[in-house]
Amino acid sequence: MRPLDWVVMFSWLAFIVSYGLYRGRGSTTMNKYLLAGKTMPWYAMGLSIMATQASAITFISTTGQSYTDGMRFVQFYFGLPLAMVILSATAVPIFHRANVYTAYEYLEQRFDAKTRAVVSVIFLIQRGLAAGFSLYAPAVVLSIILGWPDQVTTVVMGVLVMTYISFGGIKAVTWADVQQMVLIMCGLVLAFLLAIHLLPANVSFRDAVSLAGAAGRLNAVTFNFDWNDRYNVWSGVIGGMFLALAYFGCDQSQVQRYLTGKSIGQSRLSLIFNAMAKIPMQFFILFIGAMVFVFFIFERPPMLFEPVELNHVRQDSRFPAVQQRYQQAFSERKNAAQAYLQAEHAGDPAARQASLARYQNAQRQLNDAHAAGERLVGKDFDDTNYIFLSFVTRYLPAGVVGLIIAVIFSAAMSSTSGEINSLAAVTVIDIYRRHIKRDASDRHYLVASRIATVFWGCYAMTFAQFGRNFGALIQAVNIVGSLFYGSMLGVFVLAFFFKKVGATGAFYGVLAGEAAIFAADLFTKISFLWFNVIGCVVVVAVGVALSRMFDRDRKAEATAAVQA
Amino acid sequence: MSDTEGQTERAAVEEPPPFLGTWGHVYLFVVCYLAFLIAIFFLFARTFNS
Repeated sequence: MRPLDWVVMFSWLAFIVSYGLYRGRGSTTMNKYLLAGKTMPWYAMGLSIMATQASAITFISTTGQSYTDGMRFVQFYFGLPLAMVILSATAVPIFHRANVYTAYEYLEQRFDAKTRAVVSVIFLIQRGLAAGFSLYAPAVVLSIILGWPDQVTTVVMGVLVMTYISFGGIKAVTWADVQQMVLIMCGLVLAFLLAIHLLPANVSFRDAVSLAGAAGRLNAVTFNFDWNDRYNVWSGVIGGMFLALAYFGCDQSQVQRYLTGKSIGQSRLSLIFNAMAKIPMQFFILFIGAMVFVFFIFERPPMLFEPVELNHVRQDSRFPAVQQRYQQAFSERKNAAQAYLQAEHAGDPAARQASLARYQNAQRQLNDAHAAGERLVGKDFDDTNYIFLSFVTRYLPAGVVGLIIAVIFSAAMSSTSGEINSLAAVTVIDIYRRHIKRDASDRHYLVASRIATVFWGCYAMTFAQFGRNFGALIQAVNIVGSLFYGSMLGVFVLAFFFKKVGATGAFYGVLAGEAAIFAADLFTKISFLWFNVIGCVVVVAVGVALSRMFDRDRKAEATAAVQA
Repeated sequence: MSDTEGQTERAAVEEPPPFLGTWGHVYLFVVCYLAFLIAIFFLFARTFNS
């Protein structure tokens, strides 16, 4: 980081806090604080939804994933447009007409207080863990790049976010997200153009795409079905759709966005915008990773992208031999890549086939050498998250580095702000106002919402401070959404589509769904994307079965509630 | 919620989309767009992934 980078980064952070405070002014009632007075246009909601969903790790990790594993991760998002269509047609009008602050408030209208309470608590647990992780994970990476202790980075991000959302509420979150999403897209386009620009003069863009493809980095679509394979078309369309239905339909951090819409139509448009833009954006981010991969064919990357661990392993007696093996493998791959391009340009199929085999073999040798380097650190060490930032900080010009680091900060802050704001909303509306203090003034609940915002911000920072001690838990947090979303989705499916199901069936259905998901996680190797399907199906099946047994006499009551 | 009664009424009003006439057409368009993206990505992968 050079002086200009620091200026750019701090200028952006100062701007985003000031802008959030400016746009969030006037949030003087609870409705304005939590729902922006229902005044938001579709584009602001749409960009804010995308910004909240795209955490810092999305940018850091996705590019690295493409570098090491190719673009197949894009299939994870194939179910999202279908989910957006279903939610636009169902959840959006239902939530708007129910006139609720939170999605879980609707569950009491439809079922009862205990169903609302159990789903609210599930949300607070899973989103609370995720909020801490949203701060901790990028902080670790940024700290190594910036040379700060990770505790400082988490506090900087946490305090900046709390400053504008505790005053401005959802309006500040949404409008700051709009600016942050614009910066994120500008930063990504700039990084992509510079990755292409930095390729050797004799390597065209077409050559770069060809090299990435020959190394298996452009494997965007796979039709092979495998229960244990996270990313193929089937897991993406079906599992991804259920995950997106749960995330956008039952997670308050997303539902709160489209509850702020001026109208049902504006809220629907925000989801349709997300349906159209999300997959191309993810494809583009992955493609950047593939181009960084090609850049490092001609420019020797460090044996490990994580600089601190690289310095540690230099002291290891095995390091010189592994380093030499890595350098030889790199040189061979570079020569093989050039031979492959020459054969392609010459149009000789036999030479092309031979050079392709040599290039792919050299890639495998380099992968093995890199893995040997990672094993010097430890058997679970993985430096994927450092690849993109290593490229940025070492090769991009002054100013641009600061801009990209600001993008990472922005992504972390936009995710965290949405999470904290929604956690505060559920704490106050679904717990405090419902179960602790029922008849206070609007002013009282507004103050409570601000206090809850500060509480959850402090909680996220505290979790992040101790994140290092929860190594195994961090792995669990990565899939924490899928551990809870299936049963949350199931209860909303019951609410929307099974009008004869009553409160008893819904409540025990949720508990049965959670039990089924944890059983699948503990006793099977099924990919986590399928947990959402399993949880949802179990909740619906148990809910319907129990309702037939216990809720017959409440049928008329439930039907009346839905119609109301 | 008195400060939002008017807004609530407005929010609950169904309105047509700004393009394609009905929401059903918009949803169909999104599904076709998804199929188009998957097809394009498949062709892209098949063309360049050796």
